[in-house]
Amino acid sequence: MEAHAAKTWTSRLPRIQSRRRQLGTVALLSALVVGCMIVVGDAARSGSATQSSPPKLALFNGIPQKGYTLGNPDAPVTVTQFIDMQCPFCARFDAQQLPAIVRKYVKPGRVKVELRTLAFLGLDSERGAEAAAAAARQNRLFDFVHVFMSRQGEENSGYVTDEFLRDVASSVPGLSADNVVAGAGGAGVTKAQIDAHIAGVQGTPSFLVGDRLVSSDRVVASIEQQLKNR
Amino acid sequence: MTRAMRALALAGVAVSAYLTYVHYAGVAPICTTLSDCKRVQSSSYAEFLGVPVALLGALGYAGILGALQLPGERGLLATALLAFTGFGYSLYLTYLEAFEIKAACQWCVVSALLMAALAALAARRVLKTPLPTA
Repeated sequence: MEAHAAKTWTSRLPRIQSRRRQLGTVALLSALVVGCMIVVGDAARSGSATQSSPPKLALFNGIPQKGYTLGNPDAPVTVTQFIDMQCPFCARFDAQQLPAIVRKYVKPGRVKVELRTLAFLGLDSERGAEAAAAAARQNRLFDFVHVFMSRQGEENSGYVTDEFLRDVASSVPGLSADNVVAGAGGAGVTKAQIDAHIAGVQGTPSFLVGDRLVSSDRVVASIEQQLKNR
Repeated sequence: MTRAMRALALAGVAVSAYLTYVHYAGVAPICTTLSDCKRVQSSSYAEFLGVPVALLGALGYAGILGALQLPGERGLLATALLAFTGFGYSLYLTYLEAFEIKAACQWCVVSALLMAALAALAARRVLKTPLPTA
């Protein structure tokens, strides 16, 4: 019986060895694919983090800014935008979609934008949000955020230094860089967090058009609908 | 074993399809207080070359389902390749959640466990199948 068991085992040995070799090859191929994905993904991320196109601050010229609000205070539609200063999708929205919304709806006084700066991605988000609060106290929040977003660094790399904030703030006419760096406080962040909690925000960027929570690709359609309903 | 793998892959498709919907619709995912889906979803790691990682996951699970339908050695090894790759990438994403994003999303954890189970079963399936005779 023992001899039979040994015979069965030895007859299976070549199969197991061959199958193990196959599995090893498959595992190696998988590791190569995963490695390539990691390298390519990292390169794409650091590329998008370091690329900076100069923002057009003229976008906000002639539009009233007060605290966290951009546009006509009596505008019929309010868009509340929830952002994290480090969030790459917020930067994408800021560069690609916000300008058209500002030109078409905010400038003519049909829409006002309320900005809420959350800080959940890390310490750089907190410093960024605090600096944004300081810019809001000088009624230059939207210009400051626009420049900051165009210069976003690698997430949580510690790039939001005093020097970085001073550099961003100095690019905004009428904004005291000293006040932004020194006068950062948490009040604006707390209010944003409360508003986000009430609205049920679960990520950034998120938008409330009126009292309806919508995704970035639905903002314009929701604005149009709300304007039509008035 | 194939039936169990099919069930796991279907569950994976469901989880990642839900997260893909959440990503594009901008709505809040169902999230327990123990996890921080908000932080994970807003991180730069939530996309790979502009494609939501959840969508990649859905394609991966669908690929495994498809490979399970293939007959013979081709199906056996293609399933293992997809499952191992998915498991490897899940490991990387779990590392990112723990050490870079410093937050966990329960859906990602479920998906990582599903991929781990699929990889283990795919390996077992290869080892248990007799070599084709020449």
